[in-house]
Amino acid sequence: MTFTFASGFLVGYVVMASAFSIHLVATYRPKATSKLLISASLVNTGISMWLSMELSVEVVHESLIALSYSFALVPLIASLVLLKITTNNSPGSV
Amino acid sequence: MDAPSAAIIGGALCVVSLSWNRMGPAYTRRRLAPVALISGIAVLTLWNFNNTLADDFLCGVIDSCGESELPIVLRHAVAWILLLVIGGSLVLHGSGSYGAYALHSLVLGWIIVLASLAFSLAFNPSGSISMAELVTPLPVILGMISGLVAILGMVVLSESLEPPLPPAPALDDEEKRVVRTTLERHLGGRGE
Repeated sequence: MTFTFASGFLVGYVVMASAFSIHLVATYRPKATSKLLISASLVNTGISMWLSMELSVEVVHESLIALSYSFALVPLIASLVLLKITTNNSPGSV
Repeated sequence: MDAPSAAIIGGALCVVSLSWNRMGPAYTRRRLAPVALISGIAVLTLWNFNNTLADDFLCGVIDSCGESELPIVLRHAVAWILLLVIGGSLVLHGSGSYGAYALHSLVLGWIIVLASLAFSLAFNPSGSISMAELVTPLPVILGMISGLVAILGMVVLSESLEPPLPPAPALDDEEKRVVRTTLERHLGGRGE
């Protein structure tokens, strides 16, 4: 592992903060989207990105690679859910 | 090592696509969601550190990748996610949850889901998934959970500090006509 707990934590935080800011801007509707929420989210993203400027590109890469590997369990979990749906809806099931 | 700007742009386009897809069908932006998704996936999968496509899709399997594994890991993730989405959709369609029971669709869906499962676990770019690889990203996952908690806090704060929005104005004649037509069409009427 080439990244520390703090750097990995920061990368994860930046990912979520950035995704939420992008979501708010992409779905912006005049008079319907809270300006306070957008402002707070952009400030939150800006601060977290400013903190992450200290991280090296290699640390960010290693964190994202580790995250991708852990997501490889998703098909296993999804297949169990799909199996449950298949058996519940099969012809002959009560 | 280059900055992962292409990966950031690709990921941002995918987030934008998911956000637009969550909007109602009345919004023009929703119709652009598939375009944004395809563009984001294309940027993610075609991205390479050296801006070349010298490394082929399976370079991680035969250990011939460049200096970083991130591009191939992203391509690999996109591949199993696409397989899972297609296979899962076929299984849901064929199992009778959203329509009639269809055995062909169910069997094909399960084959694709199992292919996604095998691709994600066995044909991983690093060889195979080990327990260490599942524990290593815990700091990143904890950071994401903290980010989610902060987002929930911001939503609660903004809702408590801002006055509630006024009631939506009543539908005009044209909007009423569209709603009536849509309802009649879905309830078996003639529609317009």
